[in-house]
Amino acid sequence: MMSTASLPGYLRQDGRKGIRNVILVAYLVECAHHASKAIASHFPDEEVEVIGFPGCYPNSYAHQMLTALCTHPNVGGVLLVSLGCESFDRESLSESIRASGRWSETIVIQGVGGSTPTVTLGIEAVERGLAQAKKAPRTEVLLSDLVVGAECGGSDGTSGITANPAVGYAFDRLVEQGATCIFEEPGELLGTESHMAGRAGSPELGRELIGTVEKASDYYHQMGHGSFSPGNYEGGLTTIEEKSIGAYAKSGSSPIVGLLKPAVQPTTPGLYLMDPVPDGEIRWGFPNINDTATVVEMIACGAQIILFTTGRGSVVGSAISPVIKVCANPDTFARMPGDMDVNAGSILSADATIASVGDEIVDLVARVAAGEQTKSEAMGHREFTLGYKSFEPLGPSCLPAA
Amino acid sequence: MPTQTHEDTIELARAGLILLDPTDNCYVVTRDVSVGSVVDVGGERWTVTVALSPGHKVARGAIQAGEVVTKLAVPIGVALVPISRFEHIHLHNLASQYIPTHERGDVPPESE
Repeated sequence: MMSTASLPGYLRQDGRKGIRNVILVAYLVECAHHASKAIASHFPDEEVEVIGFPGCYPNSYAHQMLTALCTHPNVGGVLLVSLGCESFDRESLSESIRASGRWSETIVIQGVGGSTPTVTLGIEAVERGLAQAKKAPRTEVLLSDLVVGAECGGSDGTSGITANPAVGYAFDRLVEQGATCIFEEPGELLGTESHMAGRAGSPELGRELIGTVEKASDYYHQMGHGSFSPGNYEGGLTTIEEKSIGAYAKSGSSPIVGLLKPAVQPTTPGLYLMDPVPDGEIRWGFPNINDTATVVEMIACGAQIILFTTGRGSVVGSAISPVIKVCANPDTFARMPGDMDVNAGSILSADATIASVGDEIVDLVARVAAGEQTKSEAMGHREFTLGYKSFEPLGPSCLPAA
Repeated sequence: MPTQTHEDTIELARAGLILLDPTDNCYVVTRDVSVGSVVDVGGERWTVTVALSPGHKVARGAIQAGEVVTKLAVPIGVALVPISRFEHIHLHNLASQYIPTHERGDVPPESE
């Protein structure tokens, strides 16, 4: 009989299941970043990872993000590192983490006597955290226990016809199995909004989805970002809606049950759109400063695994949740095999189909959930970024009844 | 859902074509084809009249003027004129239902 200690999952107090058991070292202002890195670097063979918020001025989005990330199912405990004079509300974050049943301690650099004592004390604290985290109850992990996010970055002309449709196929299969799937970026979905609204669980949600795309369109227009360029039609794309289908293909064909904003947890299984575009007047510049910003936001929505499609060849992984690279372009796959988990470019030759690559992705999701490391994870990629944003609460039609 | 259809996906792939969704009325070209070349599509001969590179579309069947063209089961525009099987579908015969596509020169210089 198998002992429960060998089961791959970690059962958390809120009922969610982790597929990793990470100890986070979280800096609460950029001034505490170096000490946090020094503490984590003492544990090269353990799952100890650094995240944090660089800002000194408070931001409720950043507070919600760090709270959601520090209580993410893949996280077993958190060491908070504060400089001391920043305005981040470290007490409430620490309370939220402990209330979730996790180990947490806080070190205030100015309170313990500076950098060197912080690192010494931090290493001792993380050792306590690792010991606590190893006591987490173990559990089976089914596909229905998973929240999976989809992101694309470094796209090229192959992304929309190989990797993204294959991820869409995988999303359809995962949703059939009871999983929760998240796709993103309404700014790349211009022209698909009425089709998307037709897939919404209710007319009210449909209107919310359309409003989200319109908001993104206005935001990017004001930021001076064009949406359809001559390079697009030289590559064979005829209309803006056709270009958007490349990104939209990641969503598959399941009904859309809800709309999320960063750090909002899905209430039921099914397919969700996440809206990373800030509400209100434009502040703080371009909202999605790099692919990692959106990946982190989907993880804050509970994603334990990220499917990342790339044509030109992105190499990023992520803190907290493993990233599966689905490479759209066969030439890129041949050039960067060490970074790519799935060769969706094989769809362009005669030896694979969207369905066969989609099945391969689902199989890999199951293996990664059972502990297999992705390429980026094994190489130590733990990218993380978090900036300033502001959001209004979701409307009443956005989340399905739990 | 993109899936296998009655059309042989592998035969299409050998011809350098993908049918992204069984309900689509266009194929996507996956390799360069030159003018005058003859492509065997599951035994059918397609004589290429316009040079095409990967990512371009050709009609799967006859499309009427005013008919919606779908790719991955999503509308991508309306046919401006009748389009015949294997004919190139692009700016000359397809219009957005959303916003007009900018020609080069109409585009703000700061756009990528």
